[in-house]
Amino acid sequence: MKDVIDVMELQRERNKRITPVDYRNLDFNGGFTPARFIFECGMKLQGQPLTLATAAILMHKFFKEVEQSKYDCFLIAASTLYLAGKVKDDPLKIRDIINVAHNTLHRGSSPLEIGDEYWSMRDAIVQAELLIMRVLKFEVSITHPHKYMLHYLRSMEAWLGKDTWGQVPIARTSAAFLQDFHHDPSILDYQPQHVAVACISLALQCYGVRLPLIEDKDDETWYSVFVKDLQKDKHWEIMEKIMDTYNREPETA
Amino acid sequence: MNMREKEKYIENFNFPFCDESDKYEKIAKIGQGTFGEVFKARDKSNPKKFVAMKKVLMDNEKEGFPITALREIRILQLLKHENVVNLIEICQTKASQRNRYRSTFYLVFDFCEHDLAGLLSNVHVKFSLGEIKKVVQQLFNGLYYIHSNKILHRDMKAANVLITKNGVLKLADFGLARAFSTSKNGVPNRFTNRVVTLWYRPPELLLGERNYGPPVDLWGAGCIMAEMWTRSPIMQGNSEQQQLTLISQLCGTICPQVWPGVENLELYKKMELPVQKRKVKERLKHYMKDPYACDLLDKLLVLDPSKRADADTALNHDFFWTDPMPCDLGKMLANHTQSMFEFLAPPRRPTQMRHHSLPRPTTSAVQDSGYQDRVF
Repeated sequence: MKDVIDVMELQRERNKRITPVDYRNLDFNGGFTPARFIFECGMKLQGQPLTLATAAILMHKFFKEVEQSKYDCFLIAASTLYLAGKVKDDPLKIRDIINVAHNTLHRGSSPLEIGDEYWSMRDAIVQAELLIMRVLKFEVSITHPHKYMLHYLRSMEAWLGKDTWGQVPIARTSAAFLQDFHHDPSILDYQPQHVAVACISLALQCYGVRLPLIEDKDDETWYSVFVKDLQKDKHWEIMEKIMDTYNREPETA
Repeated sequence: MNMREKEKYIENFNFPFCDESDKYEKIAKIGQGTFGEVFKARDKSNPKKFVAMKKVLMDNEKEGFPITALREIRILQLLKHENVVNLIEICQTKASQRNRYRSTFYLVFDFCEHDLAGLLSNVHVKFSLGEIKKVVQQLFNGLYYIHSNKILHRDMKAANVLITKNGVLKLADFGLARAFSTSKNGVPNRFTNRVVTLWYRPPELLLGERNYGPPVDLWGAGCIMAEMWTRSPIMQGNSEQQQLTLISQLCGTICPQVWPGVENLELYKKMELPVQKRKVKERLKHYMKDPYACDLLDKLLVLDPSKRADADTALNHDFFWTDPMPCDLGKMLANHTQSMFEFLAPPRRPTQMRHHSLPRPTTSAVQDSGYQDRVF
């Protein structure tokens, strides 16, 4: 419990002094680096949150299948963003992706001129997209935890009561945990429903919120109304994985 | 790596989840889909197994894999039902110097021997009432399933309804299909209305509606159902305007009295909408002697999409629950050993229902290219 709060505290401190990451100095870091790159580029491209989540999942799935060192993780990241835009009907223009990715890797540089370098980058993204799809057996539809989380949170709104709900940013924090968990490939190992529950649990614990009419007993959990097949230890395991994600963030100071 | 080594690397790259298309042996071209050609092929490892291979047209190489093809694949992966065509896998040609190291992709389906347009164009194929009921019932079963999964087909026509030699109907060609949701947060959907082959296109699309739903497929299903008796498409317009005129002549005046809100559609004032009496039953009873059949059709060819029967209502109609009950087609089809596809069939003979002798139109998305639901 104490751990959780410390992590949050750390986060807040870090946010005060954001210095841009220089991706060129970072290693793969178990998928954290390309995921971070996806979210940074995706936000600059104003992609929908689910589009970015899709890109991150496709990227993690890809690296699970191949030998990581053989592929440039930023090319794969850019390409999964492009593919995710198509999958989610939230198309991101390839020209924009190239400009944003290039500028995020080489901060402060001017956009690529339309020339050989631009065209080879474009071809690389398009070819990588075809490669990713084949490696993933063309199975690029993803069931996200987001829709379950939304449904659970909606039900909890009335359960917690207007006052608590209005005072404590449970929904916001849960959503933040969920997005951040996409930096870690272990998100692939759990059912989307379970991930959704774990994110909410962590948020509840961070703010010390208890649900009315629920006793902390071994044989009863607050989430049993939502999911029946989530064991307590698995639940803890996912929460720990979410917290671990924050430990992998590179020091930027 | 130098260029030669790169080429070698690409040539020898092993894709564990994407087989090479030469595991199948092409036999014949059997159709032209909305995004490529379709071939009949034989599985070399199992010569009794036939498949249909649909080529993915990579028309715009610089944009990568076409979003439309990706959409079709995702929809086909989602839909698994007896009355929906089954996607087996996606194959690729080997990358080599011949194709500039760019593979071609094929969607591989279970092979179906016939399509409904092909069967209906063959005068030797005769359906009994029970057999017609079986075809139409399977059509609605398929539609019920895809609509329950929030998918719109958007290209219903006889040529896209496949029938196996055992008489099992399969909805095919999801090249124009898309997922739908009832409008998001009260913001109406803005889907393209340039979908559905003209002769099967419902009045709301012809009038420019962009916030449409499953009823667009049920209009097409009604047209196909009538075709089971008339043996050729019942409304063969050669322009959007003429199609609306034909619809009015059959289904009555398109006006706010029968269709509240129609006056708000974009093209309502721009199109000429003749004043006509509704004569669906009157005109079709000569073909469809069964009163239940006429009644069901009357509930499908309804101008106002909100009052049109849905797939569930259609399945509960007395038509399917009165004698003669739906009966198996396998026996009748066993008399026909040749595959019947519209693509291979001679042009159909004109019938009384036909007003003009025209080549069959294809989906507008192909015909007036550029109007497909393309977001780039």
